[in-house]
Amino acid sequence: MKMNKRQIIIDLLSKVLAGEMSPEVALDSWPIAEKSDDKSIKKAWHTLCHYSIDDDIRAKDKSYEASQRHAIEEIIVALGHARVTP
Amino acid sequence: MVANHPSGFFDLAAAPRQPLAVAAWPTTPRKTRVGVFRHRSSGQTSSQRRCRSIITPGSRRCGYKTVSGRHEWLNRDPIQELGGLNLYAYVGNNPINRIDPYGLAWYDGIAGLTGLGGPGTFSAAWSGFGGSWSDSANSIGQALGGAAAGNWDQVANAYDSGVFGQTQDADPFTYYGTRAAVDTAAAATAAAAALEAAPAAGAACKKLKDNLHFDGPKWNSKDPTTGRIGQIRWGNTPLIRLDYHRLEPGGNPVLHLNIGPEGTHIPLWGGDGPSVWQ
Repeated sequence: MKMNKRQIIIDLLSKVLAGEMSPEVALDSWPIAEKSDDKSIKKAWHTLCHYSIDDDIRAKDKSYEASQRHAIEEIIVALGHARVTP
Repeated sequence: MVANHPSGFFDLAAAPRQPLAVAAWPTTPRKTRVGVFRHRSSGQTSSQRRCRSIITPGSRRCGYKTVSGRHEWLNRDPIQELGGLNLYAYVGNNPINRIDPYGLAWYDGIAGLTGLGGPGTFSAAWSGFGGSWSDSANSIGQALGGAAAGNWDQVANAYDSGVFGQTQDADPFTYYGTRAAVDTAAAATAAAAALEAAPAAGAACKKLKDNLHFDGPKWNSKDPTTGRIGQIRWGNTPLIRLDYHRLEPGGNPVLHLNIGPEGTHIPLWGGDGPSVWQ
């Protein structure tokens, strides 16, 4: 069950990075929070929240955009490996 | 007069005298008179020990010639009595073949002056700094080294300690004039150091300007009740950020601080009821 939730989040994040989905829609489509959610899922939510807000910074600072995309890619990898990120 | 010097001259200073231990010669005060050089060997003034021609082996150059024909040193011997009691120690007990034209080190006669003596001559000359010379020579060397290195405080300290033989009472004009020159050099050195540091400060300011960013408020276009209030970052690394958004899916917006690149959350205000993720 939890792997399915991880897979859902991975798909959402991947679509955001691919430009197939806006961050706001991805946040609306986020699975319901559970007490059993680990830190990697909580971090994925928070990172995506910042990503959705910071579109103005990314528009004027390409290096900042790259760093934010890199952060989401790291979360995708961590979720895929079922690894808890710090 | 009968010659009493190996070079064939009469040397008043070399005349028989009693050992220093019985204080037979301190008739002249240790504080020298103006412009009188006190030979390092025994505290004698130049009136007691006259200088001879520079080209005479074993001679020492004098500062100036008086109207009476005497040669006088301008200043007191820099190393004072540390040169020892031996009148010929200044040329390594070899006044026939060696000269000490500057009162600092001996040279191997004419060959030494003309540079014909080869490298060994130079070494031999500087060997005169050995033994009892060392303390005062080191003091002078430190002062000169300080000047060479731009350490004018070191020079000033040496000056104040009288290592150059100058005295305030003897020649106030020269004393304060020289001291002013040393102080001016010290100020110039400090100014140069400040100018040298200026580019570094400029580079630091540029680095600060290029890397330190402040991102102002920005509200979420789809959810105007949430957004970013402000963020300070170094390059792309967030340092501190104040946000107002949901901390969990379905929750209410919470005003919170994010500290550091990992975004440690410190809730400040908001939320509604118990959180699933807390």
